Amino acid sequence: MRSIFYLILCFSISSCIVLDEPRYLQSEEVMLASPKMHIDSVFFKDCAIIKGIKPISEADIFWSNVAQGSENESIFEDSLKVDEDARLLFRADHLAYKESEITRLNCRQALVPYHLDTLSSLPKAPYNEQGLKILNDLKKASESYSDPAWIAFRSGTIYLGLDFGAPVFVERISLSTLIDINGWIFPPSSIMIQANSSTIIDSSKSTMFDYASPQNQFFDLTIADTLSKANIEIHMDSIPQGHPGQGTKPWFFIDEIAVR
Amino acid sequence: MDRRSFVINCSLGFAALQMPLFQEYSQKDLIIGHGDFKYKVDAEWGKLNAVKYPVNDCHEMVIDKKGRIYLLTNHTKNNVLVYSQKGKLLDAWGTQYPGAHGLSIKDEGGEEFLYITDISRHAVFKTTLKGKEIMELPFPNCINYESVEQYLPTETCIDDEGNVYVSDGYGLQHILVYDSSNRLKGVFGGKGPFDRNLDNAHGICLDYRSAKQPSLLIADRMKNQLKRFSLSGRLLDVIFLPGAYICRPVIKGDQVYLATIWSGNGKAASGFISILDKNNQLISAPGGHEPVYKDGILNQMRQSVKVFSHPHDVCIDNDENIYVAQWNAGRSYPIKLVRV
Repeated sequence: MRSIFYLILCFSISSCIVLDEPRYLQSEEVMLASPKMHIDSVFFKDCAIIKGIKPISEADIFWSNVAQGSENESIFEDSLKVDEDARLLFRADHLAYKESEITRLNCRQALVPYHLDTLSSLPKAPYNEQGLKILNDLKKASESYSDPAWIAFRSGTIYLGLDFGAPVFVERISLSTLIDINGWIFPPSSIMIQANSSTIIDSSKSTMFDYASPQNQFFDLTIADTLSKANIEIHMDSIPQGHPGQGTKPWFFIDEIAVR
Repeated sequence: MDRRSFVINCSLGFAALQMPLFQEYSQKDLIIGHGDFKYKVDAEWGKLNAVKYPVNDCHEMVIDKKGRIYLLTNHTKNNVLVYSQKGKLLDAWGTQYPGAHGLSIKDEGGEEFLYITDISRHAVFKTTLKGKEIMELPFPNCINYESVEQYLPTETCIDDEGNVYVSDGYGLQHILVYDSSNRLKGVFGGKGPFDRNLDNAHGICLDYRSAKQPSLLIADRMKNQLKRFSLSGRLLDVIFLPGAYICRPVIKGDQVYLATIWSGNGKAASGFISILDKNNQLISAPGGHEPVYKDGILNQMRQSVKVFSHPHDVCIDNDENIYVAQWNAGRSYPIKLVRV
């Protein structure tokens, strides 16, 4: 009994002793930075090669391709070769740290050549220097709207026409766009593609709060039909409430239309 | 109590006393940095009661001759917080600097003074260490400025002759040189395409490491460059630090320390600390990748672990510990990096 009393007494005393030593941050409290991934071509005909840099040399990078409907992860080795559309997720992990946030990387196969008509829509200065030819040059623009690899429109509806020259089986059409809410660059409210007698609509609505920072976004529309022409209508709503530009026309930025 | 019981009780008591220490050693302290410049992280060092002593952005820190550390924040309840090196609050003052940004200290004839730049008031102020304002540098009335709004001074440094060098880092990118009578006597830098021009001349300091040729080190932040100019404004050297968005150079010993607010392609919350040696080579990057030079060119720098969000300034004590003030970091207080 007396032993227990002494034990409690000493424990209480030790608890009251304030050590002058600071409490240092522990490694397991700290998150790894996201891995830096680089793809040689976001738009490709045959394949694309992805390389990565780990945040710390002892970490592993894990990857998965959610475009294949699988969330199974694999360890990223030196490089990764992709030969079809992919939506890749990468994260860094190490036992001693919290795992990193996810790095996302999208790539699209662009197999079908086409001629592009503006129909009635023209890109607006100063984001029109390169002209429409950049929409099928297989080059990806950065997340900066000042990158000349973007062209931009500012109207309620934008019409673009794709002419494939001859009937060809089209699996899907992807529009590669930029969203930068602070730059008044918004996603479309809907996209319609008229192909033969059918109309394919993508009407995935987003709020501006989904886009805290500039980001690239693909809009993929499944066609699965043989056609020689396709007309694309891009509908833009006015800038919503809560934004300094509310009620005015937003910008639409696009750098590529990839057809597979 | 017999001898046997006494021994048992003392042993149990001793064991209990040791328990916190064993717990301490069972954990793994994070160590960041590279080579001889590695650090443990005391994230709680500057933490205060946020109701009594609030901060917004913690912009800059300096240390005086007595080892007291001055933090400048743009919270007008207390623009300046004064800490001991153990993180104890010693003083708090200042309510008139809503755009408080740059903080420098200068010993002038035995008394030290602070120089505060305010980007909201478009001005530079000189105060005592207790906060008494004794001078405001005049607006740079020269051809380059059409309105006061164009003048957004981010930093100052002061030489032994009393010349004050002001970097207009959020304004027209000029380095403005005032003489000891506060007369504008020179202007260089400015926006433009040449190496001598600047793009976000965010920080400036005097470099006395070469006794033969004192010079100015100026952060050209958006270009990821640190530039060395003569005191007369001639460009001497460009130090390229790819991926490192550096804020203010701070010299201690032979090293240059720089808070690096963003890294890589400038993504938010991607900062780290840069440490350059006497040859201005990056030798350690606490919170960042190990610096690697290939054919004399530094690989692009990136954050490695998320210790920092947006480091904005560093302050170095005589034990070469680093105190880090952060911009846009959830109103958090400064962090101390303890050298190991």
